[in-house]
Amino acid sequence: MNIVRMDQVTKSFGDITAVDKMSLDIEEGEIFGLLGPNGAGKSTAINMITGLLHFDKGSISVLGSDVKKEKMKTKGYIGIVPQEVAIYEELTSLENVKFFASLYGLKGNELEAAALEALEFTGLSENAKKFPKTFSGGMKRRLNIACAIAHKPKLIIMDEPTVGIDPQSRNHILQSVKKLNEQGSTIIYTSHYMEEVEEICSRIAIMDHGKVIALGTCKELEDLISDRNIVLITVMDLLSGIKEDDIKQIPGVDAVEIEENIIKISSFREVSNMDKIINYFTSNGISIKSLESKMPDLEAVFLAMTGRKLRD
Amino acid sequence: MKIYRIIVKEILKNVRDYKGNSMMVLFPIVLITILGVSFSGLFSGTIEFDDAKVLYKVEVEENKAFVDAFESFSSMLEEETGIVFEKTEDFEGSKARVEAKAYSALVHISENPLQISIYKNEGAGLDTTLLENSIASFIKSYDGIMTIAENNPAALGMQRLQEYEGNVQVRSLDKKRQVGSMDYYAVTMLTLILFYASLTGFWAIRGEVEQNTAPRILCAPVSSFELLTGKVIGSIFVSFVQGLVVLLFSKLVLKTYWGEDLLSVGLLILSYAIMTTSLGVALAFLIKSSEAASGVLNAIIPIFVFLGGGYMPLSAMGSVISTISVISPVKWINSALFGVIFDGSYSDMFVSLLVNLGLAALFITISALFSRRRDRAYA
Repeated sequence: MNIVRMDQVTKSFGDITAVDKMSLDIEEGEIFGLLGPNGAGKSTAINMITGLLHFDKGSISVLGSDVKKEKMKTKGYIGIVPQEVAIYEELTSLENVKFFASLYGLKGNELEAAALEALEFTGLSENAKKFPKTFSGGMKRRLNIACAIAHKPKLIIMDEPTVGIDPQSRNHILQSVKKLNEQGSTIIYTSHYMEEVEEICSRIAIMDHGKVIALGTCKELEDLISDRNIVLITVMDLLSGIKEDDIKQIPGVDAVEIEENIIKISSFREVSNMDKIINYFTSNGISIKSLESKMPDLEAVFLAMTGRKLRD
Repeated sequence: MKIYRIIVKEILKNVRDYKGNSMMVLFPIVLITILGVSFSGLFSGTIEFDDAKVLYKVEVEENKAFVDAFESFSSMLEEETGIVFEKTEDFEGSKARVEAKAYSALVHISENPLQISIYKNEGAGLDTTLLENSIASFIKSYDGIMTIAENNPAALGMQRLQEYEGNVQVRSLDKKRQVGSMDYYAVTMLTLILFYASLTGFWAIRGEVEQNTAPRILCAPVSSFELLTGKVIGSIFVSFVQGLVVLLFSKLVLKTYWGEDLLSVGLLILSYAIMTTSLGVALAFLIKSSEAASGVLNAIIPIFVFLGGGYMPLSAMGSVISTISVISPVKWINSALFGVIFDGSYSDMFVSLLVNLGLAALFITISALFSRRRDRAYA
């Protein structure tokens, strides 16, 4: 069963088309990863699904209900974990969760029980009566999730839920996402952390320029660039005068990513160019510390598809 | 139920904002005390009815009974309040003397139709207000007497006595209650700080944007009506209670006078809190930048408060200021509160209620129109 169906959806802001004839089906029970560089249209797509933004053309349905015609009904199906922590510092954890859950029609004992359950789920039971201003970043992120799940939504949209937190809290959140999915919620997950997406998502869509440019499981996406090889070169000095465009001139190279002193080069397997790549570095007086060849991963797929890093 | 939850959340959020609360409650209390003590000399000399002189000109041929009634009434008023009535025949000259502030007012009694007109100089003081209200009571009484005379002439003598004594009794009591500096600033500082309650309304809306909670609320199945209603009612409640705390503290601790009719005073304060809070809410939809909106409020509030006599009595500020002051809702709420508290007069109360609730309706309408486009309203 389709939880979300987007059909030829278009949204423009003035002359800029943020989402361009986007079509997408998200099945019940999926953890669906939505990836794309900044400005690719991910947030616009999410905001249209949640009813926060109107769209110009096409149609969107959530659990078979049209988001325009049955706005309140579709909103009731969704729980949103916004990218920014969206809680009230003046309310306790329990009051925060109860307030947001009450907006979905919960009341009385049912509301109290649901709020306590959500806090327990996110490991915040002992902090139910505490104010979030005393919380760490990770605890605030967990409360952010608790506020979205107390009303037991069928669809949970998580927009970068692990930004800026410690590994322990990140791990807790990733386990929570899996558990929520096991309990029956379908999840749309966006992240800048490719390893998170690889770990938890059953299917992934890569967006760029307002369109879905690749869609499938992690394996299916990696197969899209199985004709390529990834070379990781670590150089001795940071910013040693390496130019992406110069490396792209080497025959067979289709994408280059430079992060500090690590250069990731995507190259077609059929072209034998390793000697030319090494020659580029040595002829420019750049000392190579290490060199590694590996099979394409999701990050390489993203780089090959968009020509950009995920964090661009 | 959702509206109720939003109201409770707004109240809790504001109650726990200790910094904001202390500003809203302590600030006026401190100001009342400081200004009340500093300007006590100014107020002790301003209300002196003994020096007040009023001219009256009679141009009546047929209704001599009315003139007799008026003269009887004015002599009793003179006896009780010290306001001196002098008859005049020179209408234009008398007007000039009032303009020159040699006299407080000129009362002109004319007929066809039978009426009393009062000419006063701009920036007239409390003595003129007292005169106006007394004459208004006199006319009301006279109408009552005439009705009785037509239907039950036997009761006329007793009625006449009771009515006149009633009027003078009220004025006599008022005369004993002069507006002290502490009393004056208790009213004006309360209305000053309640104007700043517009910030409570403003932050009820913009706070959701700044705290990043707007998307979460807007994604929930809550209508724009429920959201706006909950926020407006919650904010009004907070502002009103803050106003009541200031009122009670000033009454019980600073011993300022708030009159006998606290219900009407409360009603006026409530209507004013509704207006100022609605202004803040509307501004939040009209101006997206918090700094710009705060700038607008911080610019207009002192001007309106000044024009409302918030810092100094209007009578001390000259005719031009008095004329312009009608544009300030603070002028109307202050006049209404002073009328109810010190003079038992309700004429300005109804004007103030109309101004406050009319403006509030306008601001809420603007807010309702803007809040329908939720993606833009809370952007």
